[in-house]
Amino acid sequence: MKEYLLRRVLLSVPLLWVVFTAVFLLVHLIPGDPVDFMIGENAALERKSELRRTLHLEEPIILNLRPWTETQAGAEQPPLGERLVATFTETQYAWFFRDLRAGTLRSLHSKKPVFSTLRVKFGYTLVLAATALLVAMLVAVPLGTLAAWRQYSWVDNCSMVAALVGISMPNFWLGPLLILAFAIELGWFPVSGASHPSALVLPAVTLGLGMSSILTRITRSSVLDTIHEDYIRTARGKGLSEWTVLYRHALRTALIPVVTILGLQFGALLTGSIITEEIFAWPGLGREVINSIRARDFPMIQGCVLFISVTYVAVNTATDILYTLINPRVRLD
Amino acid sequence: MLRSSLACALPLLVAVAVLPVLAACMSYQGTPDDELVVAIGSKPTNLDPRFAPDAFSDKIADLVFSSLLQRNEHGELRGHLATAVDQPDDHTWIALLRRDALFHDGSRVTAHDVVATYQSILDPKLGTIKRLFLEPIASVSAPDPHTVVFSLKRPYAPFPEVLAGIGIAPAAALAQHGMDFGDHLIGSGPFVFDSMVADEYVLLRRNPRWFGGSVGMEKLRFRIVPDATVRVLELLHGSADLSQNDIPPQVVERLAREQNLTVTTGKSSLVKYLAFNLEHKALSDRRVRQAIAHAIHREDIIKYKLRGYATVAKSFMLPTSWAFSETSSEYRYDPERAHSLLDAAGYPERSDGAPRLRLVYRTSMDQTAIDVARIFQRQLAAVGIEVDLQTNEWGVFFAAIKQGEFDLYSLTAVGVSDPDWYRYVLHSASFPPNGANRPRYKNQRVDELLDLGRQAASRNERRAAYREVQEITSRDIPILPLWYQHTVAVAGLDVEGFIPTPLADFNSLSRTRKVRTRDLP
Repeated sequence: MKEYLLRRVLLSVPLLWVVFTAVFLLVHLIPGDPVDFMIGENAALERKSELRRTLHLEEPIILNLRPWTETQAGAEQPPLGERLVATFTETQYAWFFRDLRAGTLRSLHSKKPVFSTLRVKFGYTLVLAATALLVAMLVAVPLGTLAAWRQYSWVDNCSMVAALVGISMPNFWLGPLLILAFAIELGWFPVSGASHPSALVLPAVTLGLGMSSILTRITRSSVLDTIHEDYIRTARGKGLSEWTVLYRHALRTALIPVVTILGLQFGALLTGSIITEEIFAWPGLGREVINSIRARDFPMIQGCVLFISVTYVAVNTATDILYTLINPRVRLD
Repeated sequence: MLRSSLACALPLLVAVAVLPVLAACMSYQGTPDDELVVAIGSKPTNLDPRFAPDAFSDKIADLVFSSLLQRNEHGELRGHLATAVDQPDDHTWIALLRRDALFHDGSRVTAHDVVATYQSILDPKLGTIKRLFLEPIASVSAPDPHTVVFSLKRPYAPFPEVLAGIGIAPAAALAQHGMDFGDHLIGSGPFVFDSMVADEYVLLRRNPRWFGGSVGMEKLRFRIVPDATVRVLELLHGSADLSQNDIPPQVVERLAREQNLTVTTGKSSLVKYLAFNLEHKALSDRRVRQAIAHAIHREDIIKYKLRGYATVAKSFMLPTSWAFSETSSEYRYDPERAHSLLDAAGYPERSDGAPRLRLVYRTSMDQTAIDVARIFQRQLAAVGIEVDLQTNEWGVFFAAIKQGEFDLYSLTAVGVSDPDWYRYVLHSASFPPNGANRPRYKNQRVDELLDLGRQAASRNERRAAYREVQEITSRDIPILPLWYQHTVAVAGLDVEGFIPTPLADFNSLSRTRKVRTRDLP
């Protein structure tokens, strides 16, 4: 297990680096000047270039070829080593890591430290994602199991139609529908925001119902596969109750693919569910990502990307470890 | 072992699932009686009046801080912290301060605080955009605690605008906190800053010692609700009391029929305009631009798309402004005239059915802007102009129009109050990146008049200069003013005293109060 974890961590380093660098390049390729967003289009040119210099926005993005292309007339060429070093260090890319290491990475707009801001946002997203996952599991696992156990019965048909409707219904529609029903008509929950504990219910249900549709179908087919296995027949033959057969013997094996999908979906949820967070004014990571991209807040975008990639890798590793807990036949060696 | 752990986990899972439902049982009941909740679409980033980098920051900061002058509900400048503003000569302005103004910490507002605030903004190290507004100032001094003297580098007629745009902060707090004053906001406005949670809300409390009199509400909460549909639902639910200019027009019409909501509208200085790229071969011909102006049926767009919440504009100045020109040319919907202008400009109707002209129209992702662009597209197609619509995310769109990568685009001019604004969009020295003359319009006479208007001492001289500017540019139309968008406020029935102003500010919130619904008729 330890060896597996070590290998996993080592492998994630190059993966994170590739993701980070690709996004770094892409973000800088989008047109739009962060300085315009910060001080307005009508700011004086000198002020703009001064700001650009302080923010290192005038440096080349990833490779500085100036030491190779610009040589002053009559001046002596700097030594090869110095030029090589300058090629990689005098860039926005290098400045990002310098700021990161020194702990001085700040948002271009709010001037607040990137990672402390992200930690707060991540807290909100974590709560939302965990609750949504819970809603999804509580709906999907019993419903999928029941549908498999009573295959082709009305329970099966109804739950599969419900799952189909759930998959087809986008969050930006389901969200306002839930608000109309449970906030406006019944008045049970606040419409949006995060200032009241009950404000969590509607966004979590919106996200959870969407997820549960897929999970219900997967649980059903997975349970169907296992209930025809020999060991299930043996269990029944031993005279065990139907509940024990299902719960102890069938579900344990059947849950492995469900956990895989859950892990992937949880990873996606943790990285911010942009639409749901916008609709419910939930101050999570997804909204931060979108706002930073809109404002071309480069340090914030990069911080988000780093945060999201690490989270994704961590969640997937955790999912792998969970397999061994659910089914001892799985070994991570 | 696994079984037992699952068995333990199950009740826990159920308990966690039930928790939110229990929380929900503490059913959420509208807004408290002593609190007014305003739903806004995006978050204010910095309430320090020296920065206030976006519209909501600026408008909310105006409730915490007071400036020397302030606009009344008609958009006219009035004394605020200053009781009088005099101009003894071309280069000097003197402001006399009221003596009863106190900061939220109880200290008196003095000329020393005004000087400190202005000097702090003028300090290049602070790095604020507001320094540019103060650019005409050579020095600020306080000969006594109630008098502030501004010496200017050159005559600058729109200077009172500057005095209305800077909220005054206490000198001691500025010296103590420097750049971080934004975390320790102390002003002299009707509301005291309480707290701000990014992406959630800004909470202000009543200032019991406000020099302007008693303040209507105990608490004022600006809630950030990014989705327009959800803002509407918040109002319907009663969990927001007010929203201004943040609701799509077709929904406002529907809300006006709601029993527990009221819709109030006011004249606004937000002007929707259409800009032409004068470096485009066809558009460099004035007749083509005029043909386009005649091909757009503004009355229909206002009636059907904007549901009447706009008025046709023929100038960027409001008709009530002293600088408004009655004699500017007006472009009524006249497709016949558009056809003949295009014929005369050398773009005749083609026998093969091909368009006379193809143009690229750029717009942002704003839904109302896209809808209006589609209507333009159809109306221009009717006179033989094919419009290729290019929709981009705001940053990409803005970068493109700045670089002149457009044939046509449309935007809204915000906060035009002094006609010196024309200099920023029409002067040949204002080509991007030095200004917003994005059509690349060049006219020597207009340049002269704009320079004159900025420096002229008397209002009559300024009025004459700007009227001529409006007349010339209404013929040349580098930018075509289309309509004034009304300021529209949707509020709960129990909200009383809110007045939508031309600049859509929140200043009247100091007088707004909530009456108990059971007292309502």
